[in-house]
Amino acid sequence: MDLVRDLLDVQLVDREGQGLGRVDGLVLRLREGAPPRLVALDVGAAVAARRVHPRVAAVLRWFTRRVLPSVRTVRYAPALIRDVGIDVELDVVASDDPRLLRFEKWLSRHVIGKIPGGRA
Amino acid sequence: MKNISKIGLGILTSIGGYLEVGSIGTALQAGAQFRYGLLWALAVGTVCIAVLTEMTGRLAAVSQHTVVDAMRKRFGVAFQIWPLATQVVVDLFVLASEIGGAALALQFATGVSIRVWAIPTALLVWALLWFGTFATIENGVALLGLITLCFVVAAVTLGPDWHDAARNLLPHTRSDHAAHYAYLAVGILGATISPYLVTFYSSGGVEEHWKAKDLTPNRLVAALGMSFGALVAMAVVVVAALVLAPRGIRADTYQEAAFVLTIPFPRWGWTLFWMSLFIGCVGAALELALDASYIVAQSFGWDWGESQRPAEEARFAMVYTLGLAVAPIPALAGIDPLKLTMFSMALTVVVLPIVVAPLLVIMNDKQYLKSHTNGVASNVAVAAIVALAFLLAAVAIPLQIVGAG
Repeated sequence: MDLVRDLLDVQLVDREGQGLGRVDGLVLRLREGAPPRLVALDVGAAVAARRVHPRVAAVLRWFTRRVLPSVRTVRYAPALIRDVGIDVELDVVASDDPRLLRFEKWLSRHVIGKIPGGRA
Repeated sequence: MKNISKIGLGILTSIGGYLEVGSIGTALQAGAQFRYGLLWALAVGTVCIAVLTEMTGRLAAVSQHTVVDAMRKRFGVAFQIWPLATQVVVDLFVLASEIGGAALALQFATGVSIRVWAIPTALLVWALLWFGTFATIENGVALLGLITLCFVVAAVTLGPDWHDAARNLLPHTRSDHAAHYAYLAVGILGATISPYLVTFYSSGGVEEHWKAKDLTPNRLVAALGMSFGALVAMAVVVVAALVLAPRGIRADTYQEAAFVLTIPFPRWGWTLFWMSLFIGCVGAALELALDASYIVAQSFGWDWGESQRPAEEARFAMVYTLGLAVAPIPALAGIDPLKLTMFSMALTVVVLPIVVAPLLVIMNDKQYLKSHTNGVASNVAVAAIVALAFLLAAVAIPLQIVGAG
């Protein structure tokens, strides 16, 4: 597998096919006398913004901290990868895990779901 | 029968390209000021947009993924942020123009100012997205959009010089009023080959669960859908050439031109005009608001789709809700929707190359397209469209300055 070609920027989905975001960053650990090792897939606007421009990242960090604290970077272990295709499937279920899709769930519960017709 | 229902996506997409406030406005101006002289711009634009939609529909059918999805994966976030940011801005400007256009249509219908109608119109569009599904929106707009065929009936009734019209289907320039002529030509091409049509159509293919077996319908839908739009837009040019030009009306505003159908249809002309404008603008507004949600959601890997309840895809619903909250502002401020749309079109043209150029890579990616990658002819066509896109982008802003008057 080619990390940048096959993993970076790829759509992540959970076991139920729900979108978990895109791989915004890869974390490698450098090892003495051995090739670097992939230790995590990062998903988060802050990580993506760092790849665009440091200033964009700084503005975004300021904004999310003050206005949208539920926007957080999520770190997935490579061992969770179940399948690599056009999308990458991870061995998690977002609806059961309070650490995942925090902003989506917050927005759904407190804003969108409160507007008439928002829920079925 | 199922294949006939697919045509809805083609017609809905083409309404956003040909029958929205800017396209009808430029077509009226083109006919009023240059008679059949700019029909070729519609013909060229139609070939380009039909080629692009066929490709992105093919991508959707074979891979169940969209252009934006493939673009983010192949080019990375540092590139993707540019087409995304510029396209969101363009979508918002054009969305605001459409809200203004639909409100203007209601002003023609009732005599009450567009400032009064701006917010109700935006609310109507939002409610259709909030409560509706993709299929109801697509089929509803496609069916109601057929009313715009009244322009075709009008054109035939007025009895144009078919030879003269046909000769003008080939590109040519003019020596008199050259700058304004070029300005309108770029406006028509820009309004027709819109980047949001490309991203919208491929998202629509995924919404409709197209599979590889739908490749032939996709080809037909792209060709027929765009031909429908082109036919109506050309009819608008012809009607304007036969009604407005002899009376010396330049159609610089909609108010000057709104009577255009009352000459062929004295009784129903006024109603048909405002209804066509209203349905075209509302259809385009739905398409643009959805497109903004699609491209943001796909760029960041959120779940997306118009058929789920809003609370199941809260971020997706949030994008179009925010978009429609700001869209009525220009109309409330009294900005003429036609002026706003001409400016938006110049922006659209500038964005076009960065959305179209990546297709050269994406449409040759075997992981997405398997055995259905572009052939030589398709690649040459994309390269030609990219070249045209760069040319248009280079001249759009200067022409906006020298040719607008």
